[in-house]
Amino acid sequence: MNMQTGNEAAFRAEIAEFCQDNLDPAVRRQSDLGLPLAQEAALNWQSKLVARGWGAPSWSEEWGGTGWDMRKLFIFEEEMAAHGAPLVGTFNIKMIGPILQAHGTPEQKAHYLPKALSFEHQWCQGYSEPGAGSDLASLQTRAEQIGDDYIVNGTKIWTSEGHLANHMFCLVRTSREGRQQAGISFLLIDLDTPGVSRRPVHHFYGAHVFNQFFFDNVRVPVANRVGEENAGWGIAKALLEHERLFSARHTEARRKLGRLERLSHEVQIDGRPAIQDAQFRDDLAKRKIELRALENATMRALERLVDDGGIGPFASVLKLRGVEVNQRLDRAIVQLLGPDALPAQAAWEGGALDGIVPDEARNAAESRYWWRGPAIAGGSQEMQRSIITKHILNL
Amino acid sequence: MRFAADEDEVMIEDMLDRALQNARNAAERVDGYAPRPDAAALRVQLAELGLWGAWLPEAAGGFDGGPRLLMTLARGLGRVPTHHGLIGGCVIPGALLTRSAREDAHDLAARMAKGEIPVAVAVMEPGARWTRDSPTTRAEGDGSGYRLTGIKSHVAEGGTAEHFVVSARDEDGLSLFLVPADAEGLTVSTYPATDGTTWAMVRADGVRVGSSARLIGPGDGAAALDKAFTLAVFTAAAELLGSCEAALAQTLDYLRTREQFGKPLSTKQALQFRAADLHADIEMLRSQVLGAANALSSGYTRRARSDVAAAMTLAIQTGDLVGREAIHLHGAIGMTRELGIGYHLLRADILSRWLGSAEHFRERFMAEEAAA
Ligand SMILES: Cc1cc2nc3c(=O)[nH]c(=O)nc-3n(C[C@H](O)[C@H](O)[C@H](O)COP(=O)(O)OP(=O)(O)OC[C@H]3O[C@@H](n4cnc5c(N)ncnc54)[C@H](O)[C@@H]3O)c2cc1C
Repeated sequence: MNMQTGNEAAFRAEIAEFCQDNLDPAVRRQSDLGLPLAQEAALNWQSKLVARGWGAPSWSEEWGGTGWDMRKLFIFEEEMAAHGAPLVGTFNIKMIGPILQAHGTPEQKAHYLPKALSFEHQWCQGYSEPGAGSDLASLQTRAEQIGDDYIVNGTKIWTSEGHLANHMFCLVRTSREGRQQAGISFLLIDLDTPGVSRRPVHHFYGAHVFNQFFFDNVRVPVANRVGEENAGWGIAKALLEHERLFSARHTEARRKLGRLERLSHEVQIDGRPAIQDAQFRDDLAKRKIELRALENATMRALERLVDDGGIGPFASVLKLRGVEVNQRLDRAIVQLLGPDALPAQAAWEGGALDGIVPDEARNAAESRYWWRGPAIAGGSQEMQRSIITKHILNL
Repeated sequence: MRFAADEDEVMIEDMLDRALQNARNAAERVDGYAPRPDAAALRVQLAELGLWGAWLPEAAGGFDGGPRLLMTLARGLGRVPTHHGLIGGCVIPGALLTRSAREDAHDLAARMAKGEIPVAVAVMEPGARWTRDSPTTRAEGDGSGYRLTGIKSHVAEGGTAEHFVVSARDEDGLSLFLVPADAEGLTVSTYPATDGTTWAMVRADGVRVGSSARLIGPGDGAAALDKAFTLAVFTAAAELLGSCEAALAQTLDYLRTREQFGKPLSTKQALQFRAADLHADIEMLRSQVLGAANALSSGYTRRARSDVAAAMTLAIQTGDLVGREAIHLHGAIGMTRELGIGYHLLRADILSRWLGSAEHFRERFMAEEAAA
């Protein structure tokens, strides 16, 4: 089923109704405040989506997807976010699923896709290494073939949610000949395999978000390689065009704006609600206008995707500015909270804040700190600028 | 007054840097965080060196060191992540207690000069942001003493203090009362802030205090608070200067050693230019903090107050920028508590949320200018 302008409203209403019926208000509240969701709640939400046939919308129908066109996929995500639906299992649904459908063997698809959909497998991404960040192609974790296995040695770092995962899709070096990019393979590793160990790495505000994995003579069946040997770079780089539309993360920005606007009626400046304060209004206007432009930019990208099949380096423009818009909204929220942004997330457990600090202050500071990350991850802002200079400006 | 440090100041800076470096080297990792010196031991050590309370008047155990010495101390502390407690546990209560005529107030100040934190100052209220001159907390006459009722929010060092200085209003105006932490009807609930320091919410429910509890006021209560907080803000600006210096230095070291694409990151002009801009911003901040120190040294004048407001505005802007850039230029490792470079952003945020935002100080600046 594809999207005509006429039935767009009906589709949006259908999503709204689904959220109304299935989304626990406590979960919605957590997404509004940008709080991470507990594993159990994430599983629970995914099972509801799967039951409705919406567990992995972008996948092919054969594997539990919807077969929707780009526009409909886009509207789905936007509308889900607008109703406070949590984004769950991104590595499963948006990364390994599409990669396997495009490059996996029939056996790999049959084994992994259903388990990725149900979250029986939880995937994490093992690309970065201590020495290979922006310069990812210099990665050193090696995989040597012995019989039917690869023997993997090395380390991966900054693995988000690695402590919740039982599987990792991983880039490993299988050749030292020629260009660095041409010696990399894409491997699927069961994290319970002997020789795999992990240490937690914490965010500067305290939360456990990253991990480092160590591989000490880990045996991985050659059958777990996706694509040809030494073809891993291309596989990893080909993120679905549809996903690139969300480079601006405008739906998250909209949620932040929601919190800022709610607070603007609650917080008083000089004895009046902040929304009546001239300076605050001006600041709010700036935030709203840049988000409006970002949303229009995203809609332009969608149009281009539908017309031309791709958005190319425009995704870098979306990411560069989208991250900044999000960061400035986070900052505006803590600025408005003023002293009430002092407490750490843990402070909410002791009862000290009850009746003194507005509930909307929860996770406001941490969200600001967490959002330093997207400027570094997934191609840092400097890498996006390089792409713009090279591929758009031809400098 | 000159901008450059005089001989004594250079000596003090060296002494301080050595003590802080030693404390840092001796510190252990707690919970995987980058090492932070134990604050209580550090305070005592700095007190023994005669640095901690040196800015206090001699009668209160200090050396009349004044704003320049306070600046040197705060700037040094800003370079080393530690929950030092200088502003909430020494500067604000010290400035208030030394103004009081009460005898034991000076004894308490003298304990502060030794590095203890016996007193915390409870003057913020829910929803009042940085307005401190119109508390809703009431002081009602009760026999020869008073009864205090109200809620005080976000009290720095409030978790461990033996006494609170509480602002409250009666018919005559704003007064500051010294209330024992264990007074009946006083509830202290602590909470952790984002930089790991402990703060408190304090509820007074008809707390009875004697007539001598009134430390300052009613006539000069608001003015005393204003003066104490001006000194606190000045100290915060100096701390942020030190924090920016340390964050940039550590970032430059990293850029020199971190290689990507076969070369140190420090060879990339895009990053060199950013570092140059940060340096120039920090120099502006340094100039303004020194200017404020000199102005304050010659009295609590309008010019001094606008200089302090200007210094804090720049400190917040630059602290925020340098804090963010230091993290970003490190890449993912900058995001970790194991490295700890994020501490500088956490601290810049804490100081501005507690004492006032950049907007707030720009307004203060204009108010002082307009009245000039
Ligand atoms: C929140 C977060 C989540 C992450 N999750 C994962 C994950 O799940 N799996 C995974 O594999 N990795 C993950 N990463 C790692 C991420 O991919 C890397 O952080 C990223 O590739 C940058 O590498 P680096 O951190 O080593 O920084 P570096 O490459 O060392 O860069 C340091 C700084 O220098 C700049 N810089 C680098 N090269 C240049 C240049 N040529 N010109 C100008 N500036 C330059 C960078 O922009 C950055 O500011 C995550 C990172 C973050 C922050």
